[in-house]
Amino acid sequence: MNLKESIRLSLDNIRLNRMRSILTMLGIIIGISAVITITTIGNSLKRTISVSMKSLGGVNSIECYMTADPPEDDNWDNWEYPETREEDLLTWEDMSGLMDYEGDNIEGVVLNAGFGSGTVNTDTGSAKVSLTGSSAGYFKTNKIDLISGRDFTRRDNDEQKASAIVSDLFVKYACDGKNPVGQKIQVELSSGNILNVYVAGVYHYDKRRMGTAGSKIAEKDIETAIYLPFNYLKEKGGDESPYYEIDFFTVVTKEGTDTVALTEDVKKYFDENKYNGTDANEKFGVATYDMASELSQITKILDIVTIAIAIIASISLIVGGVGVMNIMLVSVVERTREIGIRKALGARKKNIRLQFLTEAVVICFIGGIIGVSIGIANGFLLSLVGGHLIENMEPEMASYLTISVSPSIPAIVISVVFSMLVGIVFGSYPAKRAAELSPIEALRYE
Amino acid sequence: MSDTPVIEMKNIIKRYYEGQENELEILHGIGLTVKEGEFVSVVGESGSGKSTLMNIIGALDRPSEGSYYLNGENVGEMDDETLSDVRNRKIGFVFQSFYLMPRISAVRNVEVPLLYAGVSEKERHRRAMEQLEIVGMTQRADHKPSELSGGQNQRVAIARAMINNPSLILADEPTGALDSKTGHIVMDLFHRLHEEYKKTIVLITHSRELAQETQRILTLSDGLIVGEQQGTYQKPDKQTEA
Repeated sequence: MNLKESIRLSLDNIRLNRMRSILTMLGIIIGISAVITITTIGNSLKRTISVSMKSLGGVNSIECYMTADPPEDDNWDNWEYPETREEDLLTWEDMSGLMDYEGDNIEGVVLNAGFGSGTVNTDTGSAKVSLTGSSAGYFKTNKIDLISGRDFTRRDNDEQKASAIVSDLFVKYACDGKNPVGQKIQVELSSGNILNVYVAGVYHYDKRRMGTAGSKIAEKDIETAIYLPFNYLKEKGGDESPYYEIDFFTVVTKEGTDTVALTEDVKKYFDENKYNGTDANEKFGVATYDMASELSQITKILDIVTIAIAIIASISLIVGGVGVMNIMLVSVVERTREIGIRKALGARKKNIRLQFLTEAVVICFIGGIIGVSIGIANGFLLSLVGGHLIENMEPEMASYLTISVSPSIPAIVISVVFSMLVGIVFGSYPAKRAAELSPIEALRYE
Repeated sequence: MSDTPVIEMKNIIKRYYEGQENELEILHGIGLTVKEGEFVSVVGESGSGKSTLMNIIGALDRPSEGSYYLNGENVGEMDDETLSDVRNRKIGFVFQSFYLMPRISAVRNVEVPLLYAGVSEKERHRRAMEQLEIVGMTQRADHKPSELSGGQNQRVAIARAMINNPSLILADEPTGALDSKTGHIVMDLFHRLHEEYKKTIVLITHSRELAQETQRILTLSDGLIVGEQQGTYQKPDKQTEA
């Protein structure tokens, strides 16, 4: 007797005892749907976090900061943070060197350094500004829209150009709404210094992101950032910080770069070129932090939690399996006569065993499929409810979140296979009982 | 026709609970030979060991002692799996209460032995329909046993017994559950199988009257064959020869 015939007989029997079969499947259905619900939620959470982080632009960048290397013998007790001198800080020349060295892997180095605040007075109005030393790629990396004009280029820093990028709020209040690109403006620093700069571009000031949405400050009094090349500000700029050098920068990677490997390269570059054989203290170095590694950590933890809960949920499958075994044992007794007839007509033990085993596996398989369907539906429902809850409780967060429901395909495959395995495990004892029946006694059974 | 007897039993003894205190010997040494093409009956009261003998002839059970050759094969020394094969290929059972499977149609019931012989689905169906035609049940092929009368069910069961072209048809009180009229129809069918299809048939019954319709009657009493006589039924071709 082949498998096909066994499956056909099993389906006949399941159909014949419909109610009983469904009740038997219930344990499996509950177990599998619980596992699938959990894995769907886990997977969706993972996807949501990863999609949202990517949309925030953090994934293609490595944040780097200057810091002291940890003690070599790992003895923190006798270790003191070395004093930072001007020579120890990083310069634009160091950044240029890195860009030349890692040109294949990095898009550029983005700087963001505060240089105090000031006021711009024009013929048509005035606006408060905070000065930020920056570099090419800043706007793209931080997902700030440039409305008109251009972004910085590497030349702006290399040649210390007086190019400024101002906000649309600035344009509204200081320029009477007229596009100022190409115009010269005067920035009066709080120290009294005056900078003559040329507007190269205008960016969109997003109040919600800058945290001034719904603030009590009048719109025209909001201090918006005016971006200038870092190297220009360092030369001409303010006087509020002891040294106008770099202790923090962001490396933007090219698409497809192995971020983790690149972080090691960047650290090594500075250890070998800056903090070795120069005026800088060798105790310093560059440390990195990147979203990609962070994201993979979060994902790993989420995976572990999901798998752990799924395993706990799958314990209910064992309960379901015991239910299947129970019903199969009843079925063997009920069908003793049938087993006797089949044996008299030439069925071998393995034929009978296969028939009952198939029935148990088919019951569990159908239960597994129903469970998977319910689990996916549950996952969708709960993810949607979760999304709504976040929207209601944390509207700001919701604007970054892209809820993305995705059932875990491996979990579905494993669940269905596992449910069939439950059928094999819990069906084999009843099947063995059936196969071992003596044909004479089975035939005589009333 | 070969000279090897279909059944050759020598000194068959069957004991239950062997080696235990309540050991019970049912058959005390049966010798029995049935040649190919014979229609033989075994008659006995209840308790005479009829069922035990039938189980052994039908390869459902092994004798405790003695030898049993079925078509030249030593059944006494076969393991369970080989016994299954022997039942499948060499024996066609007809039981008193039909023993059809209630949930499947007549034709699928007839197919069952072929299932275990590894015959393809299409071929199974074709051969089952062929057998149903012989017993005149083609019209009811798709009916379930519960939708058929006792006589019809027994005809389906006979079709099933015939399907693997067995060496021996073993009928255990085949008319026992039927009224006398349908009983006659079933007996006529056995005669037809015997005459037209040259089948070897062993009929086991308690009814002497029924046994008379066979060629040779063996009387079983208290676990021994105590008598042998000619039945009133003779093969038509033999009659013409005579």
